[in-house]
Amino acid sequence: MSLLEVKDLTIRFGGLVAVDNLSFTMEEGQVTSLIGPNGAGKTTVINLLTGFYTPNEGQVILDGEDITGNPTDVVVEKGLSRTFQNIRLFSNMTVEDNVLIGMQHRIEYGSFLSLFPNPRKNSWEKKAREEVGQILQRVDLSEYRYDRSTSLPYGKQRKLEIGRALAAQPKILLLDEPAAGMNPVEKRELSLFIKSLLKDVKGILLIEHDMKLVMDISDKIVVLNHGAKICEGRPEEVQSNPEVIEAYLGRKGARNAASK
Amino acid sequence: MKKYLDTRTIIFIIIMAGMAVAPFVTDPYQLRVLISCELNMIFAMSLNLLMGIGGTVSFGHAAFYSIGAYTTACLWYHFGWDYSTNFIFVILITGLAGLLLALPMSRITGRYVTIITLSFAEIVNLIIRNWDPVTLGQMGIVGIPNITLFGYRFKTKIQFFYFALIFVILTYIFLKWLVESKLGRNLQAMRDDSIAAEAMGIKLFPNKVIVFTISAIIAGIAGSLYAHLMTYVEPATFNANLSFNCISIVVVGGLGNFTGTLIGSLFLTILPEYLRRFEFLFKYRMIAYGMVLVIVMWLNHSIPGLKLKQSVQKFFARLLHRKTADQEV
Repeated sequence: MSLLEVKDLTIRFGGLVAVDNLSFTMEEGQVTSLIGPNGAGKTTVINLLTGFYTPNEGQVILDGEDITGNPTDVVVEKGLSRTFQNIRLFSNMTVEDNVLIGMQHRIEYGSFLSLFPNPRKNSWEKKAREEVGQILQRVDLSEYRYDRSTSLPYGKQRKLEIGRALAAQPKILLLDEPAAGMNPVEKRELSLFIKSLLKDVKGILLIEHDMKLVMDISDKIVVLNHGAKICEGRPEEVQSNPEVIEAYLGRKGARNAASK
Repeated sequence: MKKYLDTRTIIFIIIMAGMAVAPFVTDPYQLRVLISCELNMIFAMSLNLLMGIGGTVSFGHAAFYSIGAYTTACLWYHFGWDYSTNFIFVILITGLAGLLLALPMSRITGRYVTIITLSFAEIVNLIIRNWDPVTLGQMGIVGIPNITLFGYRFKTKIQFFYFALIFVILTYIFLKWLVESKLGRNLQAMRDDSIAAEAMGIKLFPNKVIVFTISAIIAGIAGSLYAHLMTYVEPATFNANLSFNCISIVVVGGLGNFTGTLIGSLFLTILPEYLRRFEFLFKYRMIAYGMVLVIVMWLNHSIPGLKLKQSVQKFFARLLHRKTADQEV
């Protein structure tokens, strides 16, 4: 059984078919990448998986359980956690609080018990803060624990966002363009880091434009164009697929590339 | 490591200690000003919960204040109940009003919320003005006695002062608990980025309802104390000005900073009273008031004194077009 199974996923915005009959699977212990030209519908797929949009047709099956059309809070509990293309940290909160928000659905006391001190609240808070320490160590941000999240340098903000997503203890981590705006050194570091995340989560779905990064770390690549899947396979298979080259370079560019 | 006693808590303790000894050194007029200070503190803290933590700007917070005031006034007028009974109804009715106002928030965000709060305040005011059998309409309710608890009626304003002070302290502590809990964190996350908060599994609507309800209840308590302080309530008191005044206090004190709200209330309640002495200034006090607000907002949304060093540094850095260490990121 696959870790994640997407079957015939379709969403239409008015007349535009943003995601068209998309099917793919993710296996346990692998990095699966979703690539495609700008506007191909990659982020829409993430929004569909995480419950921000409800698909018109199709199914999302996580670990044998149908999670299609569930609201975001249920999806998080079932084990999907995401980062954002443009960093979305809680800007006026500390690094620690940002991670605490990530694990909020695992902190089991409700709004009523929040209003006054009680043993249940105290023990959960203590436990949660201990865990924050571990997660910050994992993403290498321990020294920034009590700093405001937006005071961190750009690369560290990315890492904090990943840390926040990890705090939800997801089965699958969805990374939306984690390398955007990074220099080559940072990108190399990031690719090692993403690979190492497979120890914490069962699978990673990566959206990325940086082809080198994608080819380096992916076990499987799904290529989208105009919302539809044009190819799926191992990095080397995808690289040599004429349709993929055409999608990226155009028909003429593809001919030139082929003649070389 | 995080310090157990932070600066804000220390300042809070100093202010409360100062307030506690104040009745021994003030005349009755000054005491009265200090009592209005206390009511403003409770009222503004409730708004700060909504604005600073919940991220919703309410232009109609006076609505809850007036509902609280009229609830206790009407119950006294029609049934002759004392404050210990009325208090429960104040909580129930203002809580219900807050809940009611929160219902549209399932569909509405941002500036539309602000407009809704403004209209809500107008609607409440119109009801108070025109519901003659209950609220006595334009005439208002006159002769409300000092606070009575289980048959014991407060005799002096000093007792009232300490009674209100207890509410200030309780509100502050309660809000501190709230902010440092899961609920408080979730609210702040929603304030900073509602989409990311949703992605982390926070349900936005129930949290909005809770914060509106709690904020309304606290504002209602302040209003109910006001009715007993003034001994009369009339619709004209609870106009938009009251809401705007409250917003000024919150903005001067700093969003999400409850200690700042306390200082802001002291500052903005005592200052206009003090300016009364000077005939020239009194004429232009609204202009002076406005200027003070603009300057304070310019100094980085906070009370000078809490962040004085940074604010002044930034101010001069801007003047000199130089960068301070703090601005280089």
